[in-house]
Amino acid sequence: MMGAKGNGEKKMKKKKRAAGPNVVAMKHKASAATNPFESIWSRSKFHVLGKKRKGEERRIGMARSLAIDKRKKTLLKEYERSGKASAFVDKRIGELNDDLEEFDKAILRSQRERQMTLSKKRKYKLSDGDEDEADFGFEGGLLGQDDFQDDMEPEEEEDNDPSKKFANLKQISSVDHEEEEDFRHKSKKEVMEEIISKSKYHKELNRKAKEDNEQLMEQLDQEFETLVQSEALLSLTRPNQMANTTTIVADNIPNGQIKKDEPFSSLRENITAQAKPDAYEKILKTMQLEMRARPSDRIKTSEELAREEKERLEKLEEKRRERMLAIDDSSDDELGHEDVKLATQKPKSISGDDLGDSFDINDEETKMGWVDEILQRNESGDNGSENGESSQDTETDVDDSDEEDEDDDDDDDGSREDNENYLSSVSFKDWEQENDDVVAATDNDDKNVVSDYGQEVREERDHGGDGREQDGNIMSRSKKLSEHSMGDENYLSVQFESLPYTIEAPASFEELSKLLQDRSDADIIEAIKRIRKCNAIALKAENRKKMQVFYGLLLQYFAISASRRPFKFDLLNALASPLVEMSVEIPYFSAICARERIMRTRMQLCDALKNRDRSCWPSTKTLFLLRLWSMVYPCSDFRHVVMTPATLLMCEYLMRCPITSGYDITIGMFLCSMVLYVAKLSRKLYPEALMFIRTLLMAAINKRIVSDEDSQLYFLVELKAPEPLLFSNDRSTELTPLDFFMIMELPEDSSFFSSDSFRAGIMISLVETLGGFIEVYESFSSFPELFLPISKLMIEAANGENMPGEMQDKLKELAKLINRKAQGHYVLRQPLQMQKQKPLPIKLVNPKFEENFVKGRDYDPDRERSEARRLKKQIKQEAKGAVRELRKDNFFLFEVKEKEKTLNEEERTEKYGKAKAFLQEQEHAFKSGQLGKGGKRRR
Amino acid sequence: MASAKSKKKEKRELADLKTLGTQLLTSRAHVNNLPRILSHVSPSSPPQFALEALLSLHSFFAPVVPELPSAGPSAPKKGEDEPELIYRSWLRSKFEEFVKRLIEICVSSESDETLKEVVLDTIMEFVKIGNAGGFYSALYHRLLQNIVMSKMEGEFLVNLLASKFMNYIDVRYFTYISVENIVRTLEAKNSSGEKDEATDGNDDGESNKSIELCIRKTLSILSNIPPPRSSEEKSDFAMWSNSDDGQKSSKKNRNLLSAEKLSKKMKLKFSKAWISFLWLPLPLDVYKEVLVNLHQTVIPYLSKPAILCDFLTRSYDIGGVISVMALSGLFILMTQHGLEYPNFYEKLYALLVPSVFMAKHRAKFFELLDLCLKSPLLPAYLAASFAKKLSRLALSAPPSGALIIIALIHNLLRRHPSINCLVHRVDGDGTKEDASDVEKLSENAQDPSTNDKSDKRPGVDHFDNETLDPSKTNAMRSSLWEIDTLRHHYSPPVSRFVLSLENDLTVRAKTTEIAVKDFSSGSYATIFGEEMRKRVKQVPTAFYKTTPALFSESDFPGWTFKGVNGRKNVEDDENEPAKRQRIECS
Repeated sequence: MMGAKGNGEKKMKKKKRAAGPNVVAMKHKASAATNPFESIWSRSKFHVLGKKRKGEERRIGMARSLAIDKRKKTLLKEYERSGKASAFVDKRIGELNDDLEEFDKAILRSQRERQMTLSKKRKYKLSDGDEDEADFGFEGGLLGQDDFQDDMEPEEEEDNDPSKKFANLKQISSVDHEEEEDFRHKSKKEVMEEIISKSKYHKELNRKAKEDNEQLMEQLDQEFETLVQSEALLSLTRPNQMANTTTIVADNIPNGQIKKDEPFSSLRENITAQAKPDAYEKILKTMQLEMRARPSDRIKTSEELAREEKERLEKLEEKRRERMLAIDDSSDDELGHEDVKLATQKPKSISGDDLGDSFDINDEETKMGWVDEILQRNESGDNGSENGESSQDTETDVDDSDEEDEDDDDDDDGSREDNENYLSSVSFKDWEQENDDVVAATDNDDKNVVSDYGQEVREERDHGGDGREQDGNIMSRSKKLSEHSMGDENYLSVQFESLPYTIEAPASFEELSKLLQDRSDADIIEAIKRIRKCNAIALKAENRKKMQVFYGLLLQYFAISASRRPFKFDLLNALASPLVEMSVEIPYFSAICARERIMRTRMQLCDALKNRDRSCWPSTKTLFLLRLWSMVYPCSDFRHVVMTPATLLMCEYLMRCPITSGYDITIGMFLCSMVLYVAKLSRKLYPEALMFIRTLLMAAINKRIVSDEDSQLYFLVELKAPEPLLFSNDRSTELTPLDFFMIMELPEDSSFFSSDSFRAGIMISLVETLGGFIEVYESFSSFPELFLPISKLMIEAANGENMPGEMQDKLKELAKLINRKAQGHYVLRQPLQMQKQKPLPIKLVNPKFEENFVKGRDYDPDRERSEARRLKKQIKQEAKGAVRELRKDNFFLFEVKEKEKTLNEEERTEKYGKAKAFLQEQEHAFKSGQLGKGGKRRR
Repeated sequence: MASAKSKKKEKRELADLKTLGTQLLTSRAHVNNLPRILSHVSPSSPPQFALEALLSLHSFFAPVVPELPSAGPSAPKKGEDEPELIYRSWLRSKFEEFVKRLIEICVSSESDETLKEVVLDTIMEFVKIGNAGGFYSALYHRLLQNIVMSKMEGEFLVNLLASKFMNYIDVRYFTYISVENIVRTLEAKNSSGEKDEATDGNDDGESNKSIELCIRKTLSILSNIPPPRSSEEKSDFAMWSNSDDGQKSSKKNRNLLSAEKLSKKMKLKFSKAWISFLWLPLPLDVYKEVLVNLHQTVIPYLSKPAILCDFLTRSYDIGGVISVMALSGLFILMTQHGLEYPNFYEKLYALLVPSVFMAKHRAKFFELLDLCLKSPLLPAYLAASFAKKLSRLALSAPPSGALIIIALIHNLLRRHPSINCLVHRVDGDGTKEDASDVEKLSENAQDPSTNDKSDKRPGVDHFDNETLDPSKTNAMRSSLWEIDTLRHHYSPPVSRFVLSLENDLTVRAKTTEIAVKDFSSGSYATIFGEEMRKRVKQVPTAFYKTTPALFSESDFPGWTFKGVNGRKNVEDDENEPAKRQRIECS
């Protein structure tokens, strides 16, 4: 069998040599002929439902023989080589590639040969032009298509010369080669060649494009001329459009050509002259003549407004100065001045023109920078004024604390743009805090304190700006204050002259207080207004810093005014609005100020709570500031940088401060009202306020027998004076609401606090506040629990014998209201359902099935799991396949070995047979006596 | 001039004293110097003299004292060696006098502190060898008694004693014994004082005061004794009386043998001293101090801690702050020493009052409360009562208290799934009831105010806040509406924290208990500090079209803000200056 096959191959080889291209087909035919099993297709007779049908039609015999062939090529070779030390490797080009025909192989070989010769280039070898031409021709074409007969070179002559063809082929292969090894280092010459060829190519292209263009133009011109001359066009188009077209033509045609068509152009002019202006053109012309709409009365920007305002004030100031200098006709000026004042809505301002002497000083003052001013102030301070000394003292004192505070504030500050502004102003703020105390101290001081003032300041600092330690005679003191502030100082006389129109923002509290000292309220407000106008942030960037400093000072001024007795209520009220507006302008800074102040106030509270000898309730200053903040900042935010600590502080006051006197009750009650104001806006629960009200109600009941729960409260709010502070003794007291300012001006031990009218007043505010809280909290689900104990107390209080009748009614009414609302809650309120969850769906039992289910597809929604399963399956498959392959390999090898063995066996038996036959023949010959007669002899 | 002279004189006298001392030490012949030197040892004599005298006497007595006969049994030995005996008994009497004077110096308020230190050293030196080479407990007892009973502040002496000598086990041992004796006498005195009370009330306050002082001093002694360490360290058994080199080794062996016995004995004495002390009528501040430290410094070292239960239950029954403080000690007894306390939870429930949220020791209390309620075996009604009571308290507690309450309720709900109905009641038969409600309403229209209240109005809170018995509060039929209200609390952390109750706490796997410790020490200060620590990121401001007035009657109902005008009505004299100022201004 083997022999037969070998013969076949030999035959084929012979054939191959005879006719190259047919060899493959022949081969196929031959193999098809050799094994009839390969032509059999396996095919299933029936379709089985759900059975995989992939790959069911295949030729098993064919596949087997292919596999055997493959093994013969690989495994068999290896096997044969296994016992050998060396091997023969065929390195002829294309010999191992089965796809190539004999002819192609030959081509490749010759290519290689030429390449070898070409690659051995000499240094000075120049290329001939032909080759270059071919080069750039190919450069463009080859990238796109393989075919070398490109459209790009129509002029190139078609060449059938095989040598030329071969050259092209070489080009292809070389380009291929270049592409393969793109990173190969190009020689300098190659690069130059490339560049030259490129430029040549582009030149050629340009030239050709130009020629084409010219040709086209010429053609178009001719066509157009014929068209224009034909009447048809003229009749069709309107004269206007005609003009347009002519212009277009004129534009398009190069200059040289226009000269050519001069007759034509004259004709065109005629046409335009004939065309008369129609309605459209008329309208057009009139429109051209009309005025264009202009932006008028633009709404001014805020900067512009600010600038105008500032300029106006500057102008006014200028005028005022002029008038001041022109003393001669003062009467006229005065009139004018008066007018101006009227214009600026400042009826109360005093004309300072009478005090002629001081004008010069004032002029200097406004011109000078603040440094000079401080110097001046210090000088004047030496004249025995207390102010100068005290300020110096405090300044030195404060220096140390400043640094610490700055450190503290650094982290708060973060990366704000106004970083340094802030830092500088913080120091001012601290100073302000201290100065605050100083002013309070001056309030407390008597007239004769001149010598050891500095010491006093230190002592008095503990009093922390609240004027409550002041003794009874407020009035006399205030008189003194005004006296000594007017004092014997020279420059103070300046204060009486009129307000300048442009005012620099004061940079220290002295400056501010000097400016505002002894002015009327309206003047002060006007001054603040002007300062704000002159230094508006919108004007200049650095004004921001100025305004921040000014804001701090103003806040301090506000605080001092709040702690000063008697109250200048109008002033405080008027101060509030610029403060609110400025806070909006510099919100960040104002918040920092507020937080700092809140922190300090809380520290004071903690100190006061530790040593119980003095009252810990907030001072009026604190109250006013808290009120201001609750106006400036929104109370309803969930968490606000200022309001959250502020409300916390208010509640802490209500919770922790012991009530010892009527004064305490007043402040606490007022604080409650403030909390109510916040609660109205925020709709939040403030338990401390309710507890405080409850405690006060208990104080209004005479009976000491209180229910168990209430007695527990005594621990909570430390009602240190358990006697009924609010118990009314007189039935006939008339009910008038209390005047807060009036009470705050009373000394702490005033007899008013034990009077019945005070008690009634407190009760009124209590009832009102409670009513407010009821309104706010009525929607809370635990309303009954919150208010029912209070209503019980109220009824008890109302039943007291000496309670004024009106008050009784009010209390009872409120208690009734509470009860009614509580009943409503009882009906409407539902038990809590806090842990609401999505209802779990009921497990369904209907069958789950996929439409168009395909067996074997993975319907697993879990991607990862399905992926893992797929991979596992693949591994299993591959392993099976590998085992199968190995088994087949073994089988194949076994067959080969078996064949060898049989072959050897055959050979051996053949040899054996031959030898035996020879021997038999010899034997026979011997026996027959052909070789001698020995046998016969023996026999 | 005069002062210089007196100084000179003093110097000369001092020199004399020195020579007297040296003479005394050199030979017996000068033994008669003894009384003269002795006279200098008194609290009134100048310190140099006292010191000088003290030094010489100390060195004189130190070798002699061990051989001296004890004061009592000198009589029967008469007749043997008469002169020697007489001499010795005389010496003895002198020694007694010396010691007496020393103690006097110690407790007198006049004498110098350094001198006192030296004197104390000397006394302890004698204590070491006084009793024929052994510990002279009688002397030591006398010292302690004098310290306690004297009128001066004993703080310095006690500290000195504690720092120098309390490291020795025998000193400690005898301290316990003598403290017990002293307390006995005090008690006797007190009871007699009470009897006297009827006779003269004037003296009563004073004697009470002195007794209080004594009690305070006793406490300071007791608390200054370092607690016996459980680890058997060698230094723990160092003996004061045997710290000299000679006998040390032999005695040590004996000590080591009886180490266990010794510690047992120590414990016994320790307990006796403390128990007797605790039976004294303690002043309130001492009482609190004792209670605060009891569970740490005393209970672990008692031989039988259960004997404290009387004291603790008595204090627990007092109520208020003292109960709160006694709770920690009681808790240890109950958990570790098997004390059975009936009605413990009733008492605990009674402690829940608003004031507890402001009390000083609230942190410990709340931790203990959480611990006490930890057992999942507690009946549901109890847990519900506690939860409801706490939530009711949340309406009056400060924000820090509200935080603690929420944490406690959270833990309760998690431990007891059966009380989940407090926060989540799905009326399983709600729909049915609703349907029947209408019928009932129509039915009961005729007879109002019957007992159908509960059915008709689901919002009625059946919880009885007043009862002190947690089993009768009806808490299970209630619902924690207060917690719902806390959602609107003004403090952001509180309203945030309420949300933690919203997840289903019955699923134990998905939830964890909240550590009450994290909240129990909260106060206004911590919450305030937390707020201030927040960085200022943005500052929204309120928006007004026209800026409102600072104070207006509409914003503050019940007040008027007339200022100057209002003042006119009340006090006329105040009006004038105010007006004056206005005129000045304008």
